[in-house]
Amino acid sequence: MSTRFKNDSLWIETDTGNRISRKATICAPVNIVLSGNVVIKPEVIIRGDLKRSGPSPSIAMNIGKFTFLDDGCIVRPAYKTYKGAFSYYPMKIGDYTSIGAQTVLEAAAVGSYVDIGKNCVVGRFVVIKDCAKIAPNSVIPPNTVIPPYAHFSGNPAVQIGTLPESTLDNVELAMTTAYNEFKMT
Amino acid sequence: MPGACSLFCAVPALRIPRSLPSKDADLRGNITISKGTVVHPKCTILAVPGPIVIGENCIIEEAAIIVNRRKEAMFIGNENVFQVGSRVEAASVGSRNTFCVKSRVVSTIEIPDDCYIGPACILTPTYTHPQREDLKERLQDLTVVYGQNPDRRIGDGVGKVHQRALLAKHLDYLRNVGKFALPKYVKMRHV
Repeated sequence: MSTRFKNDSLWIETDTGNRISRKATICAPVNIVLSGNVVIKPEVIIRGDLKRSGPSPSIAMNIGKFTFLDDGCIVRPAYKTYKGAFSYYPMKIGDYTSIGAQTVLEAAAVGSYVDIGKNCVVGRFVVIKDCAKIAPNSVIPPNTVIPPYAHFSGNPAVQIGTLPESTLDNVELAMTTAYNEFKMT
Repeated sequence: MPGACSLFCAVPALRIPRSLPSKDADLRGNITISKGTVVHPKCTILAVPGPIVIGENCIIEEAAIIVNRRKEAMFIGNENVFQVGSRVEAASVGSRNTFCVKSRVVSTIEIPDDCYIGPACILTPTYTHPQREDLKERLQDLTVVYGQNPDRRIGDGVGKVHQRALLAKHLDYLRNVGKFALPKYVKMRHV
């Protein structure tokens, strides 16, 4: 653990640049993979303990690089019964993705360069493709697939527009800058 | 009402026979949880003015808040699901209800059986003319509350068997001691 930062009683920085608040609740970190440069802010809840049933070891959560989990958001895997067996299914979050404050995320997969606003509810087994954007306070029903470059909003969320082709570069630049300028206070 | 058993300083009277409350949960006041109920970490149950009695085989997920704002006891039936971030202050709750993510029920509502409160719905008593004197409302059985400005419909109960079977399996998964899920990764409160 590096001690590059003054206030390391409130934050942990790992070798790969993950910045994790000590006030976040991370259940079963052994089942969670952070790719590096991930920021996990206070009051975030990540449920790694809800993993696939069965004896084989499995990962519950896979979070890509330069991803931000904002204050109070809750990330938990989704569950269903398949062929009569109940199980939680692993969640994958891509790179350069931000998840807003107080959002509840139960998706199956979130792509890269995705921007999820604050106070959203993302239902079970939602698939969000790359470069999508979810407006704040949206409610995405279970099993929705959100296409690339789509802008979704509302309760239930519908597409209200498309994003420009430059979204990928814009988001990458924004997230990298946000990470570099992020102060662990 | 169960007699006070001073097991925890934060919980003056908590009686939990064979249920799984995790240590991170914030339980305050006189709370009775029946057997089979699973309380996830980081949920809040506040029985500060009056007691709360929770039935069998309920699931209370993280960040769910159950508050009793009144002096009288708040009775919650069996097989209810309080999903992530739901806030229930209802006067009473029947059995087999689902409170979805970020839903909210105010204290003047009574919830009967088999209701479904959709995600991000705020459930308040409907406006009547003349206005009800006590402002209280008891929903019908099988009510479904959904949408942006919460609409209500009465369901026909299709899928209830499937829902109960799913809940039974879900509870089975969460309780499966030593293999996976809660007891392995979350510290349990010993009662």
